[in-house]
Amino acid sequence: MFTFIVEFLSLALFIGCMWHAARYESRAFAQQWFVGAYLYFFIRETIMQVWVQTYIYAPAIVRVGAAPLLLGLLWGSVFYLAYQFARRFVAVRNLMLAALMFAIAASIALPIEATAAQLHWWLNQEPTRTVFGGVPIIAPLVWGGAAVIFYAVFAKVHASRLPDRGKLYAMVTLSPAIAAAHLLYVLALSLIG
Amino acid sequence: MRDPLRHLPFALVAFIVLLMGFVDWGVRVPASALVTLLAPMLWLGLYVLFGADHAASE
Repeated sequence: MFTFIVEFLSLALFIGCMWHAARYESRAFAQQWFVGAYLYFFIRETIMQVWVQTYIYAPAIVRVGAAPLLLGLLWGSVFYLAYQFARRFVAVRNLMLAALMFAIAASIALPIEATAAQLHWWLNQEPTRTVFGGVPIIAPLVWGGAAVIFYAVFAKVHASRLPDRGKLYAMVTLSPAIAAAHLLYVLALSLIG
Repeated sequence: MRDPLRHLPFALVAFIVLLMGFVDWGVRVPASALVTLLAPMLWLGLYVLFGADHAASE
């Protein structure tokens, strides 16, 4: 129901975050961040929808293949917002920044997950423990972990001595590995939760 | 605040809170779902109270 709301939100956040990253970080940073995050989401969601199928998206959500087309923009945007907020609190890029990104990404995603549960934007296929009116208990941890795993790889690539275009290619090349790492993380979480 | 656009991430998180709050209010979701709006609002408050422009000092 009203799936256009989350797609509009994804697009609006992406445009704002992409512009901000290009202006205040660099154009290369923005390309590496958002291309890497989108491919990460696309590969992960394709595997989730085709193979794992722990949740399914509403039929009205626009897809490319099995993965949602516009919702992928939400991931990179939420990671970027978490990164920018975390940078306000810690001066250096270290473990503390990653921990803050985890908490902030989980917090930002929580109301989106709660509304999604109410409006059935995506539905769990398996019975799971829920909080806040239908949010799977592991959902905020999935978002937080997604942000940290992405940032850990992005920070390594960004700190490397590769040229900007090489860093972009590195993010593209590593996106299946990031998706695989996150799937393993989600699998471990679902065993607990 | 010489460059307000630097704080666009703050505005975007506020936008998420407002949009989700408006939608939740519009479809009359239970209070247990509405309280999730407090999580990003907490970070917005911390951003205003304790945030510093570390990026600009690099």
